[in-house]
Amino acid sequence: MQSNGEIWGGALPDDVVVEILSRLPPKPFFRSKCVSKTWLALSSPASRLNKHLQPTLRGFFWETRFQSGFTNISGGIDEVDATLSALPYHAVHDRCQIMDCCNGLLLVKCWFGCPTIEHMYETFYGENFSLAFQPQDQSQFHVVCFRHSHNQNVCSNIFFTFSSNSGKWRQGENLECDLHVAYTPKPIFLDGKLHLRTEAHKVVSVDPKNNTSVVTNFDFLGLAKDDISEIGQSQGLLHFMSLNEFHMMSIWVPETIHPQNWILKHQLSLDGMLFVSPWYWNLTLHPEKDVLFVHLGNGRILSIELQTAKSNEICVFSDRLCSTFWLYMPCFLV
Amino acid sequence: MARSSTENMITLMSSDGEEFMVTEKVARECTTIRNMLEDDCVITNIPLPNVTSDILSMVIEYCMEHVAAAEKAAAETAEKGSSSAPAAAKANKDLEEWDKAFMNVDVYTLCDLILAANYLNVSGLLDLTIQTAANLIKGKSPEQIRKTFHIQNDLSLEEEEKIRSQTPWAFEKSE
Repeated sequence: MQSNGEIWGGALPDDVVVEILSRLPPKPFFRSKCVSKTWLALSSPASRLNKHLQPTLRGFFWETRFQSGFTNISGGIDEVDATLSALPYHAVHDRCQIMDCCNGLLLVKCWFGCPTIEHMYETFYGENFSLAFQPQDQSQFHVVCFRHSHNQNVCSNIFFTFSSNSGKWRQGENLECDLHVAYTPKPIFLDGKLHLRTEAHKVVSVDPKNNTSVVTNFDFLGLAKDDISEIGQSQGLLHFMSLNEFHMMSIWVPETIHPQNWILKHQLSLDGMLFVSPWYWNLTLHPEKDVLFVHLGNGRILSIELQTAKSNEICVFSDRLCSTFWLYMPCFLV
Repeated sequence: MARSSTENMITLMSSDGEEFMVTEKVARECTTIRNMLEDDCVITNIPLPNVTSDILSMVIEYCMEHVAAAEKAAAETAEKGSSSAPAAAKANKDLEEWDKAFMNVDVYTLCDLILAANYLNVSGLLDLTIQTAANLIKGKSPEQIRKTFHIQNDLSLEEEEKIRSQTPWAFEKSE
C-alpha cells in the first residue's frame, strides 16, 4: 500500500473511485470522464449513485408579461441561466415564449422582427407546441404541433410531429373539429406518449413515433361543464385534476391493474385561496411528491401538500399576471 | 468521563512492525477490528499488514479525536440531563474544523488514508477522505485533475474529443 507515482491511476479500488465520482456535481463529473479509461468506465456506475445527476425538481421557469426568469426551489446551486441569454430575448422587437419544458429541455417559440398583434394572436392561439422524446434514446426529441383553424366554416384540426433524428416534420391524423387543445396547455410526456388537455374535459394522447392519437373523455368522472380540469404527472402516473364551482379540488389516477379505471386519490378544498377567477389559475403537480403548485393569478405561486392541504408561498412576482410557469428537472445523459 | 484504568488495551501492529497501544473503544472505531474483537474477545494483538506506521498513527489520531468528542458530548448530556443545542452545535463545528485541518495532507497521504479507512472500515474517515478527494476534483480541467492525482492519460485524442463533444457545456471555462 505504499504510495508511488501512479497511485491514483490504479491503487484505489473501483468502488472507492465510484464513490468519489458519485459525489461530484454535474460539471466536474463530466470532466472526470475525460481523465482516464478507468475513470470513464467507472463513470457509468457512479452516475446511478450520483444524486446531482438524478432528475429531481430544481425549480421552475416563469413568464410574466414583461420578463421571464428561473426560480430555484431545490436549495442547491443554481446552475440555470435564468436570463436565457442564449436566446435573442433581449431584442426589443423580438418576442419569445416558453412553450414547454421537459427532460431538461426548454422549447421556446420566437417571433423575429416586430410581429403584429394579429400575427401573434393567430400563431399563439391557433398553434401550440410540445416536447416528446424517444423512450429508448432520450437524446432524440420530438416536437408535436397542434394546429387548429376555422376558415369560412371549414375546420382543420391536425397535428404534426418533428423528429430531431430526421429533422423533418410529418403530418399526423386529423382530429375531430371540436377538440380544442387548451390555449396554455401543460403537456405531459409519459411512457412514450404526449398528453394534452383539451377543452371539455378531454385529453388527447399522441404517440409521436407512430404519429397516432387517442382521445380520452373524462366526463365519466361526473364533472360539470364549467369545472376546471387539468392534467399532471407525479410519481410516474398521469393525474387528472378538476376544480368545481365550490372550489373543491379532486385528483384522480389510473388504477394499476386496470388503467382504464380512474380512482380518486386526493380531494381537498381550496376555498379561501381564491383571489381571481380560477380561469387564470395554473396547476402543476410536483413530479415526485404529493404536492401541487398553483399560480393563483395574483403573482404568487403556492405549493400545497395534497395530504394535509397545507400551503406555502414559494414565489412572488412583481407582475401579477404571470402567464405560465414550467417545472424544470435537468436530464443528464451518461 | 475519566478513562478507567481497567479499560482493555489493544495493540495494533503496522506493516513495518511498529506497535500502537490503544483503548478498545478507540480500536472499535474500526469496524474491521470491532468484528475481530466480537469473533474472538481475548484477542489483544492485531497485526495490520496493509497499513504503514505513519498512516496507522493518523488513523488512530482520527479515531481518538472522534471518540473523545463523542465521550464529551455524552458526559455533558449525563450532567445536565440533556445536551444544550448551542453547545452541541459548537462541538460539532469544532470537530468539523478539526477534520478540515486533519485533511491538510498531500494526495499520496490522502490516497493511503482512503485505502486504510476502506480496509479498516472507519466509516467517518472514509467519508471524510472521499469527500476531500471529490473536492480536489471540482473546478479543475481533466489535465489538472490528472496532474493533481498523478494519473496517466490512456485515452486517445479521438476518445477524448468524443467525450468532450457529448457535454461541451461541462468543459466551458466558467465554473
